[in-house]
Amino acid sequence: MNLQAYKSNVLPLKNKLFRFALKMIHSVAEAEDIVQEVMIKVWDQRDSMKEIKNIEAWCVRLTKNLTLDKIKSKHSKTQSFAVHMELETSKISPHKQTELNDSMNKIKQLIQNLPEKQRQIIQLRDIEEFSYQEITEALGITIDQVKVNLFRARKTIRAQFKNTNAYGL
Amino acid sequence: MDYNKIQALLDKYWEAQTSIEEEKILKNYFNQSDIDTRLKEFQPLFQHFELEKEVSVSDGFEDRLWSQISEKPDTKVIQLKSWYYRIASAAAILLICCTAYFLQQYEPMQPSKKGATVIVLDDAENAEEAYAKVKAALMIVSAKMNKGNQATKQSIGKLNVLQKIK
Repeated sequence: MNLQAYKSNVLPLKNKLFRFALKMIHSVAEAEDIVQEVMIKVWDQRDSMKEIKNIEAWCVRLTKNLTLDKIKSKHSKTQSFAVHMELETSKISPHKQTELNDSMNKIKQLIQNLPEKQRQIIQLRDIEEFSYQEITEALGITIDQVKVNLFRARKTIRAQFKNTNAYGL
Repeated sequence: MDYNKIQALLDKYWEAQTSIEEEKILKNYFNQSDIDTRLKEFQPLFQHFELEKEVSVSDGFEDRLWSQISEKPDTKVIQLKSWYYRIASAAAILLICCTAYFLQQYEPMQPSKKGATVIVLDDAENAEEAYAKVKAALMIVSAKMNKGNQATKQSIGKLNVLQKIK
């Protein structure tokens, strides 16, 4: 992979990877550090990148692993992880947050509170528009697991709407 | 877009049966202004997806990345390095082989054929034995020398007698 290919194939993934890491670690600075680490790794290994079929999915997978490592080390360092998390969440694009109306905030919360795998699949599918195959490669799970978890996640979201209607909220 | 078509896609969406293209149709529908009132409640969901897409890294991210990347040595240098290591290790192996070969060929110098006796002291146990041998050898030499000395003394005694007679 030369500089040109890197600039056109890898660099544009920065925001996707950032969003993916951010949803896991809830810190803009740390999520950016992780994405930078991923990008540098790809650059260092650019000669062997030809063998990777889907660079996008591969990068998401690396992002996921690095983020998990970081969360683990953070968790062992600071006891008050939950408090830390809450503080950092409020930092996410404040001007965007004020734009969101109540119902959108509710949706956001709902998705954020889904089981981790379901949340990640919703994110990769509905926000990043990954194919099932790409999600399989990115998360290291089978295609059946992708389908089942996506179905469950959407079922939970749908139930929320039914509740909203029934209680007239 | 008509209500029935969107409703059908939405049903399919909840069942997780929609393709990416169909999901794009839903997103486009809910992110414009003309939405059927019966579907209005689902608008926030698809708006949320669109809005999330805008979350991006902070300004200067790429600059920071490039400065990180340019600080690293070029890959070609690493390749040369690996060549250097290969050549160095080949040379080292060759050197070891040559040394081993010459050591095998080399025969320790034989004790001189001119008669000098070399006693090699292998270890402490042999030391006493060697000492005894050397001592014995020296005793023989000494005995012979004494014999010679005596003979000389006798001869000199005879010479002195001759001088007195003179």
